Amino acid sequence: MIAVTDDDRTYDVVIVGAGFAGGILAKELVSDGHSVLILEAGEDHGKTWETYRSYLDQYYLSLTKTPNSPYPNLPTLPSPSVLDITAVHGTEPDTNGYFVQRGPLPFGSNYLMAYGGTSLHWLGTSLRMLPADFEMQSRFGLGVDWPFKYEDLKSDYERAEWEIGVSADAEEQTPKALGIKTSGPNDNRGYFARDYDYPMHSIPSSYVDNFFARADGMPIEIGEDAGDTVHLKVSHTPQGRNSTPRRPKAARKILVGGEPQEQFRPRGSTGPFAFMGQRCEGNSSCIPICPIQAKYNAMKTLEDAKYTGKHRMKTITQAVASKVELGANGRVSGIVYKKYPFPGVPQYELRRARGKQYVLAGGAVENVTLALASDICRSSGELGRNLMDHPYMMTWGSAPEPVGPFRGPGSTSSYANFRDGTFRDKTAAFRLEIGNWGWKFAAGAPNSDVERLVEQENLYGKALRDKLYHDVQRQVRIGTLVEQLPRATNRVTIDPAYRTPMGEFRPVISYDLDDYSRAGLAASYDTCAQIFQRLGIRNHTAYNPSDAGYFTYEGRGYTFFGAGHLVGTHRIGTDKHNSVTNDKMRAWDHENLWLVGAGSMPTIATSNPTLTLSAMAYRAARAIKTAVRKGGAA
Amino acid sequence: MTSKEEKLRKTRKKLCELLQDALMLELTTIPPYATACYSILEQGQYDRSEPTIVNAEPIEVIRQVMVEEMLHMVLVANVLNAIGGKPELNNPDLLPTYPGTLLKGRGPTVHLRRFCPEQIKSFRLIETAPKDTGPAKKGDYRTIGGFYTFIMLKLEEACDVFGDDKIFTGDAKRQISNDDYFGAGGEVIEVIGTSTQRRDAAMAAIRKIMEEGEGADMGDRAGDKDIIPGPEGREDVAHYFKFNEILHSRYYHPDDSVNEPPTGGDLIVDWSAVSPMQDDPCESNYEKAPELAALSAEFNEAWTGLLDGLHIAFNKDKSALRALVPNMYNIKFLAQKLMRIPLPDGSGETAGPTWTYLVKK
Repeated sequence: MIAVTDDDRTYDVVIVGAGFAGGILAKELVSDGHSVLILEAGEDHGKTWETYRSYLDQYYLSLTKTPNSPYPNLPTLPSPSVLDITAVHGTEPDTNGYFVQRGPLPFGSNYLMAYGGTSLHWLGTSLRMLPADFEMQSRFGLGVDWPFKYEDLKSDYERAEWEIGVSADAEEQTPKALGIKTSGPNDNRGYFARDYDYPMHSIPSSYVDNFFARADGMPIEIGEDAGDTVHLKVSHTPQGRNSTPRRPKAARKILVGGEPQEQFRPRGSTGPFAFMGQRCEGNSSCIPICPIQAKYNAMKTLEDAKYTGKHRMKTITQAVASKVELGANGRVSGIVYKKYPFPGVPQYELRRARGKQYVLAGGAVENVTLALASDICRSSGELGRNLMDHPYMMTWGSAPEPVGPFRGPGSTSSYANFRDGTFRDKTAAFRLEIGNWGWKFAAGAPNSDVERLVEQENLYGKALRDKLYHDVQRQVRIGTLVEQLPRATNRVTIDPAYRTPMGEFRPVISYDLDDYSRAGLAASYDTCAQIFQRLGIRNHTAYNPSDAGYFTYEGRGYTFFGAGHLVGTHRIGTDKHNSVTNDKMRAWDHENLWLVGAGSMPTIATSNPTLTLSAMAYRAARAIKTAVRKGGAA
Repeated sequence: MTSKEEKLRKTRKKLCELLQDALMLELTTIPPYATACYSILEQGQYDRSEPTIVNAEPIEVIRQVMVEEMLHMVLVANVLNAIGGKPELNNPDLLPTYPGTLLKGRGPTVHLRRFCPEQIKSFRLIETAPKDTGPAKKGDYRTIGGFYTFIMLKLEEACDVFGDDKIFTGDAKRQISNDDYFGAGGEVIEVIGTSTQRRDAAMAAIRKIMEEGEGADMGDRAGDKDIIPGPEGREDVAHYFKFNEILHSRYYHPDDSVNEPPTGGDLIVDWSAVSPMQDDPCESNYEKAPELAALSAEFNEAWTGLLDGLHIAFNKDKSALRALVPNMYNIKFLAQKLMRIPLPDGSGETAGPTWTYLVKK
């Protein structure tokens, strides 16, 4: 047995993971006077300008600009990559990448293990869920209800929006204003609190958005009822990137979680580049990296925590949490972690971190592999199950006129009309995201266009430039994000046969799309086809049976990708038989253990999960503070 | 017209002239800073086995000074608009040419040069604090700080003699606010409210320019009281010291003494990863190279567009400011393009932007 060295200091709270959830938890806890240790598996980077600059270098040098391309992929800490996704054949799992894929369909999403977590490469979409999304079982007889309602998360949404710095206008974001025919009669009432608004104004619409807005008002049939017909509307997407700060109306300040706030001050880059990134400049590389950090990343919140916490806040990077140890009464007594001194060399020292309370905030997959490896949280049998994502499908075409793509953030607007409605009893809800970057994600444009024109059409010189400009300027793309229901068979497990060079378990994933989601994807494809027809866009969408994410529905074939929205694996619930944690994210089986993150969400609905998980982190933080104060007594 | 009215008219005219000079002064510094910044080679353009960006920090230091100069332009325009003046941004008779002098010959000479120690030293000279503000108050100013000391004095005098309400007569609609200005480099001070409030705001605006610039009256400290955004709220250092940082390859602490070298962390400078741009590029060098002449013309068009846009923003429609962001990117792109092209004279030096305003025919 290898000896484990104990850390000298015992903290109030030990957090695994320095991402969205870890950052907010740390900031909240140190602000309340508690001491916090964060264990981050990623390399010791991101803290100084040099490492962020090195990410940028890596990004510029990468031939394929995948979401993880700027960031190190270490043998000590392999990360999932979208380039590893292949079709799964038969019973033989696909072990190409970090994930072991059991299929039947490949799970196409990734995340980033680094200081700042996946916030480094997120797009910034910051949507609230809708009231119906919390009541899927009672409204549609599908999935599960959340243990609380939209109303109960509302003030935490406000806090999260002000921490992240979300740009949007509340009056444009109510379900009614978005053109959603909600499934409940009162869903629109009080969606935003009376004296609340977002910290910054909406990011201006792109030219592409305005082009699509020409189809506004067009009726689209969805579901079986004629009454379900919705009228298309292009609406701004709330985004975690800096725009013009909102000036509170003279006397009445903006109330955020009940607290009056002055005008928001946009936070730019971290470190000595603080004068950069106080506004989005449209560098158009949000995924994988914002060169000026105008897009929120968790390093900003972590920097606040470090500053507020001073000696109370400690971060240990290059520390892979390996085992959660239990003491008496099922209480957690420590977390054993592997501290590797050299990034890239799988040699490590075993150490043990101790605290009064322990939080797993490493993301929906990593939380589960750690918990499974530690043999904890087993009584419900739900741990690792109900893995959800937004199956992401693209439709693309050529507009009849130049629309100026490849400018601005990846997406500034969407058709939110299909996010709720009575059709949801049979067909999954979805959101249509209008892409600003042409066929970049869909077909690797503009590089692929150059290749095609040179290799196939033998063009060069001015003719090449002209044709390239002509083609690329007309590229449009719509992305569909469809909801998934929690399914016990979509799950993360571990298998001793599959480990990393550091000896950690690799996630073994079984994943499929049910007919509910497939119906949603089919409906969204039909909708896109109608929009294309109305706007005179020539449809170039091609789904190939050899695509890794190819599937069929009612005789037609489609291809889906992952959206990087990993949700549901350690869901909250009402009792220890249906969920892993209670509604405050405390593990049912271990009274001083908390699992926080998108894995806590019982359903995914149609909103990108970051804002919801951030809001839930505030909810958990309050409960953890109480637990620390009580000295951990139940 | 009574003699008092005549006197007021003359005083106001004089104040407007001074502030217009200030506007041009701030503008004059921007092309040299931008040129030095853009001459630094970017990723992939220099010979390095390691994929690291060199000179990212010097670029940022110069860029910070540059965006503060832009903020100063906005502040001066706000003061000028507040007293009912008309900021002129596209009058070719007033616009700077290079090489040229600051303060109409009284200040140092400024050149367009690549990023090199001589140029950084000349930047430092531009931002030098006045040793003695005594002569400046009498109108004998030789530094930017001295010039602003004189402006403040004249403005206060005028207000005292004629009353604040006679001086601050401008249209509040012309005031650029933080909502309009792409807020880098600090926050805009709007000169609005009652005439007394406007007087205070105008003084605060000018003081802010002085403090960020040469750090004249900050005692024996490098800091300029301006807080860098961020959780730590670190104090920024004045421009003079920022350039000293580059020359010493080391950051200042705000509490460092102005007479001692900086004592903060390392700032890594590589003087070799720079385009060998000719000093003070001029159009005549491009006569034998039509492609260069065309590119230079394209650059000058973009620069002209920026100045015209600023003129509209300060005089007609504030929202014009936002549309200038892509324009500034274009200027950077074209400048870098020019600096990558060798001159046909075989000297090994490259072309560069001349920053010439193109007069409409």
